[in-house]
Amino acid sequence: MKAIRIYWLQVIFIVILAIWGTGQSLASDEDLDIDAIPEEILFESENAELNTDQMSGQPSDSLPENGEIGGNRLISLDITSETSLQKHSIRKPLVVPLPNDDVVTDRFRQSINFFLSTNGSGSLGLTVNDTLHWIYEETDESADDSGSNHLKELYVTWEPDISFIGELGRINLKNGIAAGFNPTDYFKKNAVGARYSDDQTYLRENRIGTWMARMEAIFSSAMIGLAYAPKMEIDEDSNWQKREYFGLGLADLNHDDHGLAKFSFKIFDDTKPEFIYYLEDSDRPHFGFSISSGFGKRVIAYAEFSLGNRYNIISETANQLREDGLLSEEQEFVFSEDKEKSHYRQYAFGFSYTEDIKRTTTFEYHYNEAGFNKNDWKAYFDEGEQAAKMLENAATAAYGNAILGQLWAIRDWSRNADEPLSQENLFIRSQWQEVWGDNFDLTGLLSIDLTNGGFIFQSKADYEWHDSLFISFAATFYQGSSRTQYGSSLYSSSLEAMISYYFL
Amino acid sequence: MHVRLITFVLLVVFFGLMTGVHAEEKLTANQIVAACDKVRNPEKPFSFVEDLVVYKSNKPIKKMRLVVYAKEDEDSGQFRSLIRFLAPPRDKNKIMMKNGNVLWFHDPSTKASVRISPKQRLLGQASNGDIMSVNLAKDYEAEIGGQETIKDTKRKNRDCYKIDLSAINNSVTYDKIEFWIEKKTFIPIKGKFYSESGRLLKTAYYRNMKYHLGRKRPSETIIIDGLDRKQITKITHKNYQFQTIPDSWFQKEYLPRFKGLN
Repeated sequence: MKAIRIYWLQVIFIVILAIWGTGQSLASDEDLDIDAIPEEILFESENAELNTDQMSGQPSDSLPENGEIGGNRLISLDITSETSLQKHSIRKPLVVPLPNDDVVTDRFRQSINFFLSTNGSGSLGLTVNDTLHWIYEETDESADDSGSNHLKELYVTWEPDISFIGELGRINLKNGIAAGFNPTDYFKKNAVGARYSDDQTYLRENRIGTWMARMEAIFSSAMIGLAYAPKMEIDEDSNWQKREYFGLGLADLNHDDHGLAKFSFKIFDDTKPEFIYYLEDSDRPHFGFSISSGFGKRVIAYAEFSLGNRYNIISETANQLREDGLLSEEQEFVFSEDKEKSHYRQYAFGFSYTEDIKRTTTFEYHYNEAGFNKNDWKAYFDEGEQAAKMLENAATAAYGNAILGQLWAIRDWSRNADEPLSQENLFIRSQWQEVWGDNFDLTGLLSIDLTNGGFIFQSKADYEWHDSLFISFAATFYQGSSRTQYGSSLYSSSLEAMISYYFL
Repeated sequence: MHVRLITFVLLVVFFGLMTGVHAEEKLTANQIVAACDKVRNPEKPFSFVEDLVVYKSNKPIKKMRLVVYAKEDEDSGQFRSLIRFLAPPRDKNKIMMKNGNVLWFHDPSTKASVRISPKQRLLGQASNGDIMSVNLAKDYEAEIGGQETIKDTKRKNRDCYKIDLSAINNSVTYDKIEFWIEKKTFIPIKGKFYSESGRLLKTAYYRNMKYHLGRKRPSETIIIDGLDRKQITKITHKNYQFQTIPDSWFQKEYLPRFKGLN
């Protein structure tokens, strides 16, 4: 009897221990994960621990550069070098030929960018952003080299307290949240100093600023901003105005008076719309609006809208040609012009989607009411074909060339204004980090003209040689039937190889 | 005599266990996670420097240095963070900001501020959630999955609560987390992070406890890739400082002018 009792007590004891053991297990499977960490990494960390002041927690040998706390410095200087080689394939024949056949086929570019910002002297700061370009270009008939200097930014910042900032000087003021076309980016017209590349990143990095005074007051859940850029009259032939070598292109973006007021406030936790009122040349008011919102952990949706009192692209081009003295007041433009300004809508909306494989793809729809509709494109190519025929006859060749010049000027105006030439476009951009290996990124861009067909496709590969040296290759293809925007563009494809070096 | 002795031992063990269980039951899973959050994050606004190194097959292949400014939102209890990149040179002065579920990324070279999703990654296996201060107790529902003794990276046994975390905020980086928190100190020892489909994304070890801003906190996180276990990311946290951080910093419009603190 006693033996049986002992037996059962032993069983109960084992059961209790087993129950306890379930909750308090030695999780040996979990410990296998440590084996995945190489001993060298663990050892390296432990050595670092030995060099650390245990009380302050500050590693004795690894304070940020220059003893800065939090990585901040009184003066920050960044110098970047870009070396680029481009090869363009010219489309021949063109439905709308160029008035001048001397087109660049090959380009070598060496650019050095200096970016300096100071954060000293209490509330005052200075920012300088300047790029020097040296270019060698070849056409079918000639070769030439040139230099230019782009003073992109030069401004003084006054920040009397954390909520207020005032700035004065040449400032690159950018608005908008869409990836492709920003209707509310009102200071974008003519902002790209020199279009030496079709690469979107290059274009955004090479915007030059407008001379302006601006202020912003930022509160915990709202902000107000004001900017004023005066019209500057500088003789275009003056050395200050010329870009060549050390000219500053002072009045490049100050052809008209511009004023902008911006207001944004938080309406929900993750939603803060932005409202903009913009006035150009005292009689061109624009109203802008943008909003973004997140959906789950992968999707960001956004929309940007602008309503502006202005002319359409055709009339804007004609006005520009008259302002530049290339079209007299009496001369008629190739297309009928707006008699008066109208309210034109522009908008961009879309979303981005991020995948686990480190790829983020953006889908956007762009609408520009001031751009070409299908009938405008038909008229464009009809006029172009007629003008091309005029070139065959010496008596009408000059007139034909003038028409062709006007037709190409429309494209130039749209490109310089950073506005889509067609009314409707679909924009897709995909950025894929670490595609093959750890140092290789790929970016693809597809812009489809929904109004008249055709597309532009750009693929760019970036290879990180080391922390400071990057090598990239970009290929751009302009495709479509001969009577489409991209199928009638000057180049059918462009290739670019580039080396970027970050000195500091 | 023998029976009495065994009965006595059994009673001692039983009541001992019951007493222990009873004492531990005083803490709910959420309280344990909240206590662990306090270990990981100082209670006042602070800044610290993070060094990230990605290793592949034991060789460092990428490095990044950034400074993080973090402040708890009084309303939500969640951290707002502002991150400035210091290295490599190409990324210098780029800024990322998290305010609630909203993340913005600013690139000074293009002047563009782009809204990004929590899934967009920075470097190697380090996601936005790994480098920013996060109060797990606010974003996850916690359950005690048991008590386990696991080894830390020095292969020392640590008695831990195993906490199973399920996301209640659909914008967090990970849907499910298994977290091992040391019972005595509430220091995190290990975490396993899973996707919506239950796939293991990464395993993290928290190590090198040091005194930062008044208490011992992990100064290093070692992340093992869930798919490629030869890819290791080491994050070192250092130079902790209390800071005065104004709310206006966490606005998109502030990003272009953000230069940090002297």
